Amino acid sequence: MIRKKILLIGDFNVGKTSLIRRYVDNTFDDRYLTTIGVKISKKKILLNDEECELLIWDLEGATPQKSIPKTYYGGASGAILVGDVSRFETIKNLDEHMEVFKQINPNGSYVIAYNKSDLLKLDQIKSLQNIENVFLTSAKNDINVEKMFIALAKEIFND
Amino acid sequence: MEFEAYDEATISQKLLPLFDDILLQKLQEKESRTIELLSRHLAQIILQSSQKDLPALSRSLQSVISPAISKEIEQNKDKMVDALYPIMGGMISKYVTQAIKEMMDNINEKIEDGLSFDRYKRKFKSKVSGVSETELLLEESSNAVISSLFVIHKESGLLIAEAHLEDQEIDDPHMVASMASAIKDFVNDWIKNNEDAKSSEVQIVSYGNETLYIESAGSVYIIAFLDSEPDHEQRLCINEFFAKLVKKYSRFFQHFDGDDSTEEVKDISQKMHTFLHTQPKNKKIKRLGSSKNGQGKNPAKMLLIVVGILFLGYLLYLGDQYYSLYCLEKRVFEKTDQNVHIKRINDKLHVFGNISSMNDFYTIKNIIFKETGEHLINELHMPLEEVDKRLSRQQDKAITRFESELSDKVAVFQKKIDLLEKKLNRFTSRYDKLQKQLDHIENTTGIKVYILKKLAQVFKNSDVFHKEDGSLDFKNRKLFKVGETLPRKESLQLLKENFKQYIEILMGNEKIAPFIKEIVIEGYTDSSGNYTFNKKLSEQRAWRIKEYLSGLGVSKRFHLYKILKAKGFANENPIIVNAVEDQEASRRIKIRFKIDQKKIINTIKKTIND
Repeated sequence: MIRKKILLIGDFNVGKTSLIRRYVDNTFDDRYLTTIGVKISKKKILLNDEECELLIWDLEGATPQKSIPKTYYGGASGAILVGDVSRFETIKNLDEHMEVFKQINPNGSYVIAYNKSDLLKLDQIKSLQNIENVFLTSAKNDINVEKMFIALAKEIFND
Repeated sequence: MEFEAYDEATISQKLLPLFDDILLQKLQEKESRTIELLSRHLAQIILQSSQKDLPALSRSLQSVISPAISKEIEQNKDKMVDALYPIMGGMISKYVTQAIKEMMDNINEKIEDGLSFDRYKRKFKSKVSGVSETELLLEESSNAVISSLFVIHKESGLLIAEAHLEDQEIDDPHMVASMASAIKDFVNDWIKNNEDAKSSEVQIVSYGNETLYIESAGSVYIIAFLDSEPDHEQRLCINEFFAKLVKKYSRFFQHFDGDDSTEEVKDISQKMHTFLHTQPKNKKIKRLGSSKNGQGKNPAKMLLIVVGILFLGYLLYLGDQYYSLYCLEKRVFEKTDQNVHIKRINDKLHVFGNISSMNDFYTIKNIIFKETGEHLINELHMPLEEVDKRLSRQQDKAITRFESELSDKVAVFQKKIDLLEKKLNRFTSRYDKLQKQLDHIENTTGIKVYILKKLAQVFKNSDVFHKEDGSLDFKNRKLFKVGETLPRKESLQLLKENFKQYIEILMGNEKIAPFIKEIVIEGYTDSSGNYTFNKKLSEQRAWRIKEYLSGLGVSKRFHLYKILKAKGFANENPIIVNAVEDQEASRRIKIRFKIDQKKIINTIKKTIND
């Protein structure tokens, strides 16, 4: 079986861990996230009749008091960059997160999750749809979560 | 010896210095005896001193002990750190203390079991190897068993291969491998940010009753799962096994893409499985056996006498050989500062131990060859980073050689490419030239079509323009009355306007003008009258019109006097409408151009020759 490491990156409290809870098969206890700044989960998927596995590294959002080791980013085939639609600065910071990811993994694929999309109005949703690699997700209402993971997996495994 | 006087004081003065010297000499000769004698009293003296003046005793011992501790720390930094770490780690100190206590009880039990074969063996080993007896006992007392082995891709944390003892499988090994990677990265990052030793990396992680021993190479690292901390020997054993894996599969490790179904992964897993099932059991069984023997002292004593005699005989027999090997080891230590063990096996010199670099290896090789004239059998171990460096150097050399070969080939190809480029340039230039010639010929041969096209554009709405031959035919303009040579005044304006436009196109266009040979004014009559008369009349009409047109500004501007011609055609080409001649239409003039065919032919010839 082929396994790939992917990252879940984004500011503090954008809902990364909730996305993971919605999607994965198995995960370590949440206390690891607060202790060492990363939580590992995994998900088996079927692509072109072949079983593959994603090992998902949920990186804690860095704060001025606590930095995340850059080595966590190493060897990742892809990343989900998560922003919270109700907090603009988290969306603005996605560029920075992407830059760090691409710097360490120049060939890595990525998708962007505008999370907590259940808080958006209909016209706002329309304006954000149909942008390549961007998914309006809601861990709360289970919107687009699996679709986003599959889209990233396809890009990684088809490469 | 003579004395000035024989009183007690003089004799004492002369003799006492001699006694001092003799006593000192005797003491030095019998150093061991002296220590034995003094040791009986030393403890008592220290006890009395401490009771009498403890601060003074502390001060005097401090001056000896402090440098000794400093020296020990300096020389055995890692050991001291290992020894101190459990004391510092608050959370685990209780367990460690208990473990140390149990270990010390075990050691004490062994020491008490003084008359055992193992003790003499240990003593001898200690003498030969230079490792203290306590240290050897510590090594013997370790009981770590490796239950699982993981080889993990360093960058991604993906598990490459795994092996376990029966019933010791780890649930979800891939997640555990990733988590172990994260923990290792986290601790290493913390060490880098908080310690002076930037290069140090975490090697041991303990939780509950489990210990993880981590050894890193270039792109992978190995994790051994043990039930307690591994001793020096076990670490070496794991490192040696890992080094072999890294050496054999370094390329595979570097390019690992997450696929664990490959033949390499199966092969590595098999090797790890074999390693796990051969290493820890013997040790455990051996240790348990020796512990049981320790309970019965008498059989051991009996055995000791028999084995001791045999052993002494064996020692005498091999004494000389061992001594020379011991000297050789000592010499190696002096030169390289490395503790190696040299053994003669099947008449060959095998060298065991750990060295820190390839330079040490070459030095040892030279010493042995110089001293014995023999070549060594290499059983030495080097740190993984040295193996890595060596591999890296070999790779660098291979890459350099490949680059050099490649650059030679590239140079050859470059020459060929340059040659082909030159040829291509020549062909391109020739092609361009031919293309230009072709265009020129096409333009030249198509000049009439071009002129007709241009005229048609301007005269598209005019009824005087004849699009087949490009002439202006004024047949419908009632130019002449019967027998008249001058046109009607009202027609002149029309004639003038049309002529001006006609000449502007023919002579004002630089593509057309060079090929215009003549502008001919053709005069015509109707069919009445005889031919001679009509001929003359038509010529006069043409001539008159020519005169008129020659006076126009446009004719002067283009110097038409050279090419403007007048010709009479009598009643040729009368205008017939419904089988009846329109005589008024027949009395007309036509203006046409003639192309210089000779010039066209010459131009084509010139183009081809160029």
